[in-house]
Amino acid sequence: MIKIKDLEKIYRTEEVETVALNKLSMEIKEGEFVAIMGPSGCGKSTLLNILGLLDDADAGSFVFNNIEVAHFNERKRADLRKHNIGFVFQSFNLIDELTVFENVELPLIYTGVKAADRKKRVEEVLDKVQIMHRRNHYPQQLSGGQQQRVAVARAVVNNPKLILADEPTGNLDSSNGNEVMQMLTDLNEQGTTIVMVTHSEHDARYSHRIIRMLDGQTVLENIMV
Amino acid sequence: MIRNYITIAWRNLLRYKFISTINLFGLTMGLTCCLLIAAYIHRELSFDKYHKNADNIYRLTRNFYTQDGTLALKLSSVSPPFGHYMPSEFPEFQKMTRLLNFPTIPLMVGEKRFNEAGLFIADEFLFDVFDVEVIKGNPKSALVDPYSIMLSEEMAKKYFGAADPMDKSIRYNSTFDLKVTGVYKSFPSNSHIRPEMLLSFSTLRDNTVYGEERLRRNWGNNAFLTYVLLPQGHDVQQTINRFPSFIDKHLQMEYAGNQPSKMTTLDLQPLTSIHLHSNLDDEGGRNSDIKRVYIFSAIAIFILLIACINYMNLSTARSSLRAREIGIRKAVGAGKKIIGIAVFE
Repeated sequence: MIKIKDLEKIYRTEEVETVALNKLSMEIKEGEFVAIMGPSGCGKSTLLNILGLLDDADAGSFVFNNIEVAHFNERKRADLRKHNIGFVFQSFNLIDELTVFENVELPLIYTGVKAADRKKRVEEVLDKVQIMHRRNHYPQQLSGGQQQRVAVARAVVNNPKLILADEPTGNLDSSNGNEVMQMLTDLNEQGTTIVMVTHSEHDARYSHRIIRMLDGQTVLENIMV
Repeated sequence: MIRNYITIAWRNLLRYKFISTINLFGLTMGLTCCLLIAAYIHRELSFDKYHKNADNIYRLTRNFYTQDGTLALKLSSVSPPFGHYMPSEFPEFQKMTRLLNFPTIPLMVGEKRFNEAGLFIADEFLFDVFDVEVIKGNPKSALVDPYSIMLSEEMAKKYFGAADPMDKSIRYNSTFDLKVTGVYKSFPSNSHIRPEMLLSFSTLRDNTVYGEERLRRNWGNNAFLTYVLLPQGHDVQQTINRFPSFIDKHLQMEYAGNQPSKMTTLDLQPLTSIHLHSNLDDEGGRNSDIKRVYIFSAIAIFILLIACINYMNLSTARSSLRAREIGIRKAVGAGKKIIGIAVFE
């Protein structure tokens, strides 16, 4: 599903150049659950942003579903992103001014789903993550665990092929963290490819494969059995 | 999608009530001031442009000079013989009309007495030059007979109420009776003259009022507002260049020993420039000044600029919050255009 080769990303300021990805290559197959680990600053989040088409690489190849997307313009990226990729962030990133229902509905609005269908699909997914009873609440009125469940609901509402999770349990206690990890596992079992950045060895164990990064390069791969 | 943005904008407004109030109040005040000033400027620039021949109507003005050539007096009106002799010598004057503004005079309608200031003497050609909507009476004949008077709609209502004013009588200054021969729609507020009553010019031919002889010979009574309609695209300067010879021909007696055209000159002033560009003596109405328009335009731009800067300053202070939202929107599928709308909102 994802094939990257010699991917480079360098952040430049007037004074310093920081190499975030240094000729990184890797392959992620459809249906895989991959955890990416490494110390802070090793390029995990940069990689996730590039995989999610939120950022572009300076050099290298990025093939998504057999299509070279490295040189896609913003319109094509947005189109690919909204139909194929869901995001789960450490800090949930819900829009404070929208209710739970409206937050989950947002990706469907961008993909042009009709209002009646949107309602049905949002209710289904809210039901699945067991947050239906909070559908009219605002994010500030929910606990961290509940907020992350909403974020997962938002990530999956469009039935994406790929979910990118950036430390999804980083702001949660262990109980809520486990719940979220179980949700991701369930989604993976239903066929969704998951790439998760994490610092937690415990969370990484939910994955099929752990890729360890250092200074923008892959240094180790562990296959979980 | 737009509904979603409006929802967020509305909830943001409610959430940050104080700052939103300051922000919106400032912008609203700025825009309101600007719109009011724009309306004022639009009105000022619209004066006399509602006539279909506005661009071809000119007012005849007269200047007076001292012996040493200094401009002594600039008049917006001329004496009656100009109107008498010029049409035959200036064939390009397709139509000419003359008006004479009367001072406040007492009028009697039945037993009621009124002191009115808006009375103008006018000839029947007024309707050929200017666009005046006649509601009652025939515009071709209503001002032909002496002692005929036309009233504006407001005046007709004031004097006669709901009754038909046609052929009714109005007593002029306890001296003679005027017959109402027509009613016209009042001149709009963006007209430089606004007669409320039009008394037929032929009334002046009566010797007990003014007299035909004086209309032809009195070069000194420069009280007659005189308007001419020129052909479309006519070279006005070419007409003005012929005025001195006309003056030298007709005003020898008035300026014995001097060349008349050195002592007095005529000019043609475009109708549409009277309100903002004319500041002559004896104007038909109160004029404005183009400088005011410029000053108010500058004030409007300045206010708008301040309001916008103020709005931007306050909005920028909150932009970090919006940046997060835009990032989220991008992640869930928003394209460049949609994000642009969010920034604008």
